[in-house]
Amino acid sequence: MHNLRKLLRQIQFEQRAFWRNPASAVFTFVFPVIILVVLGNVNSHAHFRVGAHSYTYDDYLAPAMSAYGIISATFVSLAMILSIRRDSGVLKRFQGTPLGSTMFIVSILISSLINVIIMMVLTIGLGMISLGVHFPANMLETVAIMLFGAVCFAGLGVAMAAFIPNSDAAPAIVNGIFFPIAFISGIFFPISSTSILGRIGNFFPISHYSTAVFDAYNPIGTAPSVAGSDVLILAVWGLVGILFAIRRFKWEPSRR
Amino acid sequence: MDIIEVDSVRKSYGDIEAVAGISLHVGEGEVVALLGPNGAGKTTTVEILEGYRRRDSGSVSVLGMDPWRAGSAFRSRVGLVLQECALPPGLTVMELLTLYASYYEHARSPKEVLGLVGLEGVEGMRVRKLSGGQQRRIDLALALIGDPALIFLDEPTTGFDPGARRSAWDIVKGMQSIGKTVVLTTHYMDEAYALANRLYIIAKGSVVEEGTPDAIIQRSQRRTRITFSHGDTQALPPVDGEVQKEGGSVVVETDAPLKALHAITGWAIANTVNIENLEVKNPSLEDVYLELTNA
Repeated sequence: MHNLRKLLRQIQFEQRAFWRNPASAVFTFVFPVIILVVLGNVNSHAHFRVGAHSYTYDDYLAPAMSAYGIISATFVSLAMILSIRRDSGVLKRFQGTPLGSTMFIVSILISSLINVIIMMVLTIGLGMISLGVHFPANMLETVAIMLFGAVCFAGLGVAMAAFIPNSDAAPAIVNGIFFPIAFISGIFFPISSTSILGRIGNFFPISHYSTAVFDAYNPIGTAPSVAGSDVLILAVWGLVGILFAIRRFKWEPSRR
Repeated sequence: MDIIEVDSVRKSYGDIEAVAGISLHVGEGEVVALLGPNGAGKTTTVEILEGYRRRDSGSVSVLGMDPWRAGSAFRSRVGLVLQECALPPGLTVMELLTLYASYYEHARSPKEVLGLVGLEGVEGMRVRKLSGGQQRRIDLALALIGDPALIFLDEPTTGFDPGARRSAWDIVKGMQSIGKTVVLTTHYMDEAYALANRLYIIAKGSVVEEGTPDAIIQRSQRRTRITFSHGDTQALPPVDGEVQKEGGSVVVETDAPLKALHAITGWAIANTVNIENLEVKNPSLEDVYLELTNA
């Protein structure tokens, strides 16, 4: 009982800390929403083909923006928060309490999954309201694949924090990695998987995630079902991230 | 058994030996200061005791446990104020204290600890709106909220103005009066003198002197200095001690200050010599400290 109360309090703390930091809340949520609404409305008449099927740009963009938003709420957000807290000494202070590192990490992961769920509702809802995109054809599969990716990218976010030398460098490093890869992974516009950019993008987990989300979301009901290879590649990246996070995560600022 | 027992602890960072074989002990209810210049190894020593660092060799027992291996059982009985104050900025004071209270089985109430650190009435304020000194006190309140038996304070008053410093001292004295054991590091002599029952003077990773402040001063065999303004040494009466001229003043260093003072003042009154700026200074901890740490 005591542990459950501890966990709930710590999640509550994480939620407060997140929403009361305008920079993190705005960057995480407002950005994907603006891209979704602006790009979606500007290009709403564009069509393109995937395999034998024809899609509108909006059908493509809505699931991609869900994927983008979820990565933003996990990978980007965790890497930033953890490196900033580590650098300021907040993590060290937590480490000195009986809270326990497992409890701390579990709480911040659950808190970012809460943000992921808000992001899912927001992007799917806005896609429907603002762009007229259909409700996901297979809701259960969509939610499952979205959450699965969220866990993988959360692991990668914690691992990323171990690479960031100090909090000043955090935004540049995290966004410097995230944006270019998101772009070549076809998050904003479709990129042919046989092109050079597409091939580079395919090495990273983002393109596989957005493809899997698109296939599950299947806004017009004719997309192929989720490919096992996409899920597998995502899982491998996630596992590497989680293992790396466990081995290399640091609690103290590196000043020595 | 002592609350802290440390024997021949060593710790190196690369080629630099930060702690070069320190032994110390702290009894229940004591306030013990580790006094030393910056870079002497105080913080590394304290962080070994707090369980943040692993010693290279030697033995450490804190509350009967090895702090490096002990988990939350150890953490729940120890309160920490780290050298740098780091609090989550977005929370209110009350939210932060309630959060920390939830980590402990037998926490004190937030109101009570705010009273202990003399910060009532800020419960609803966001941490980022508090002054540096107030944040430091909240840090101390967090250290106290789990009702710990043992409290570590790493340079608790660095950067405080004199008033804030005095009230921080009162807080530490208050902790001792409610039976807490306190280990603090400082590079302020007056702080060590005012707070500590016993102190360890640390230089270059080793303990160079230990004991009560008065015992340390006494052992140093430094003499009392009597100074006064007077132009001419020749006319002085014989005194038991060493007489020197420094500028326009006379300095007498003596082991028998009462006799010397009596001789000087008696002579001055008898000869109607007006001596000004008469000052009697006991050997201070600072003198001893500078001597020991410059060696």
